[in-house]
Amino acid sequence: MDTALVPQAGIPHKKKKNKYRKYAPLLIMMVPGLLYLLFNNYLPMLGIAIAFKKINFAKGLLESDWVAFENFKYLFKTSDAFIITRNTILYNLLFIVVGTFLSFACAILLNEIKNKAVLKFYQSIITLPHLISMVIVSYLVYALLSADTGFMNHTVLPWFGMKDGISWYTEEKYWPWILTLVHFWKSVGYSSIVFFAALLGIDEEYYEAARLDGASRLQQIRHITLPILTPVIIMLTLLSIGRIFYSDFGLFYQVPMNSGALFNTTATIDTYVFKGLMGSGDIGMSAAAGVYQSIVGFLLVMLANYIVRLYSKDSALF
Amino acid sequence: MNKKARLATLTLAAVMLTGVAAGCSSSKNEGNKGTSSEPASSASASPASATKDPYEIAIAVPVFGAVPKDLPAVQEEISKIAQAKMNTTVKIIPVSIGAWGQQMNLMTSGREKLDLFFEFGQGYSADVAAGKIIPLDDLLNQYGEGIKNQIAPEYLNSAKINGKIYGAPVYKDYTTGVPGVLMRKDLVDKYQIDVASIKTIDDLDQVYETIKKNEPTIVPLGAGLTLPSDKYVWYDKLGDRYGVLPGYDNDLKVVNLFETKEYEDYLNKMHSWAKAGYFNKDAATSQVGGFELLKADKAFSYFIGLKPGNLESETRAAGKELVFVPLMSDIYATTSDTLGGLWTISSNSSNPERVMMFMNLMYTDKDIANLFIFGIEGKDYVKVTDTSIDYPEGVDSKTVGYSFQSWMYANPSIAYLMKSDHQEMWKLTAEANQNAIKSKALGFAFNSEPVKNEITALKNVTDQYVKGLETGTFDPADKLPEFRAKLKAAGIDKVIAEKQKQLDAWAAANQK
Repeated sequence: MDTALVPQAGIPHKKKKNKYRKYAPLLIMMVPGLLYLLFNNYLPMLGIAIAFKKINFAKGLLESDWVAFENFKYLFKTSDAFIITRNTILYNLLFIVVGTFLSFACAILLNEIKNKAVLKFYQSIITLPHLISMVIVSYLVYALLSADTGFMNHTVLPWFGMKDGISWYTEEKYWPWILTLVHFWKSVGYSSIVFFAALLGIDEEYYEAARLDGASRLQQIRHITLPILTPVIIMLTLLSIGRIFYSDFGLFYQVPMNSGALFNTTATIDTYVFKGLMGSGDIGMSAAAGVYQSIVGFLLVMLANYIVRLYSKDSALF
Repeated sequence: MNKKARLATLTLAAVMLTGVAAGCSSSKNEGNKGTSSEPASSASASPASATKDPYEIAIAVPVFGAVPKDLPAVQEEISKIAQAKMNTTVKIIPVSIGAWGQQMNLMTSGREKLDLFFEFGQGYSADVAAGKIIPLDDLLNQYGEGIKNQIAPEYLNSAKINGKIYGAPVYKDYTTGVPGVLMRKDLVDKYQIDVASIKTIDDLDQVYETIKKNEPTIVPLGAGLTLPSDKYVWYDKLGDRYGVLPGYDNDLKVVNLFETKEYEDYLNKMHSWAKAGYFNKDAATSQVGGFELLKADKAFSYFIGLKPGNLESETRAAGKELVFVPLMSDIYATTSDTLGGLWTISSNSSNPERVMMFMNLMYTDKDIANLFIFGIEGKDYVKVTDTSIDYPEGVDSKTVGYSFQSWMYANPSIAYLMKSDHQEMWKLTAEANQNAIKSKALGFAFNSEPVKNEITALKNVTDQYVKGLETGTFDPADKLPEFRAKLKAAGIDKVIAEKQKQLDAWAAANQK
């Protein structure tokens, strides 16, 4: 909204009233959306209070006792705090950096396809995994990795003379690779669409001019596509940094089949909280985990945005 | 833009605004009504006038799978009985098991109408701590005669938390069952295995070796959903296994199970079995039950704590004839086994007296029990004899219009039995409950609230090691010390100290 009004800033004071009248229908049309935001996104924020309370249903949410940071303690007291934080952040960093690169590459490849029908086909194929539920994905992975009947142990490994197979679900060293692979298989197609849409918006004339000057394909990408898409890349990266303390629960809980033996390489903050609280169902403690994740995410977005501003003011989110 | 159009936009916006505002205010009113009427009505009820006003009891039950289509008819029939006896109707609220926990939280915190619900044993103490359910002692004395007659005092008292009973346990077998192994009878006969000679877990070595050698397509021991260690127990778990009572007594001294020699020996045994290939390879991660492995011709045996009627039901489930081989002779009654499920009164209830009267009916009234568990006679079941029933012709367990997990019902012993059930089941259950050796800590329920941070960490540690160790997948020489160290770091000693403190206080209060 702010950005829409900025160009009007120079209009003399007298015209201000006029301006509001002029935009009144638009502003009114915005009201339902704003209300929706208010009720759906802002009012529930009052629920943050739950994280600081010992919830007693007989007393009700408002009357329950305040316990300050008591609910947060379990997140830091545990000897595993380091492992779960490390896993969450490193996996997400990997997903952001490599994911951006892969989606971008994918979009460029799609952009090079000129045959419409073929393009649609490829687009559908690479987007399809995104539409599959993680539970189903976990069983697809299981079909590959299951100890007795999995494709890997049953068919692939014997080719290489490994008759015994690998006990995938108890060997933690393979899981960083497996999870990364599954994540990108599922997400790259979908996220490349955003880049692809931005690519379509680039004027063909730039490329024509470059070609006349004898620029190669790679040079065109390096000097035309990349600079034009930089703001999009930065925006998407900033948004994903905000969720760096969250993990894709389905990926980290369902795909390893909740196998405890893989804890060191598959446990993230979300799965830790889920496993720990599944029995007691303490909503104060789970709310605390959510608050902790969002606050850290918020701070990281602010920080990242600040850094971006230092280098290029136009690319920053705000 | 012309004036008319602008007027139209404004009106539209205004309508939307009032709509939102009205939505808010009306729900607020409702909320107020709910809370303000609560103390008034519960205070005014006296025994004489207790059933004067009509009342509707809202009962929430978890459903596994689709909501039975005959549920409304069943609800109506139950209401008819309750109406005649106590001027009360019932409304059964089915909640999908997947959404159960969340839904109950929402209903309670939203002050929705909710009177009575089934409580899983594992969530019981947390729900007491969260104030979701109310103490029943006075109500039980006043209106719960039938419940007190059905559930022996030592078991009813197991539901005490901080000296008060918050739920009535479901009537069932309250013991550990006989720890042992169920084996396929055809293979036992084929290899002439002398089951009578098997007395201990070590005697199984030879049996399993025979099977392993001669039956290459099946594994001797199936595990997954339940592990042998869930059934083969020599200690009172005291709820969560973080601190146990070996031998169900140990003079009430709480011990760290994972540090004991017995546990280490047991793990070594399991590891030797796993190395010899006696376990299914995916035992540590599989979620498949023992009988399913037998049914699929993948395993020869599985561990069980055998209770009356189990042999029949497991045979039915596995689709193969089974032999039971006991590995220990005694059965023990413990709090954990008693508190499998309970019926509890919600703190939302505006008329707990009436709810308790109805709960009492659930433990005593045959007709209500049959309706609740089996549905409507002639439609959902037909009588075979005076006490046993079967599905109507052309209908089976999958197509029947009504079904309910009988183990969740307050007192299934007064209802009919399925034709295929052990017809003496309830007599044997009563005997088992009476004759079982009572754990010295029977009646003690651990309240984990003071150490909940440690419990959360411990859950994650056990999750990481227990399945791997207890299926023999991990080598205990390598992983057990690591496991023990991590338990210490997660604070198991603090939990055990807290448990000991509570147990001592409980023992003092109950003169144990």
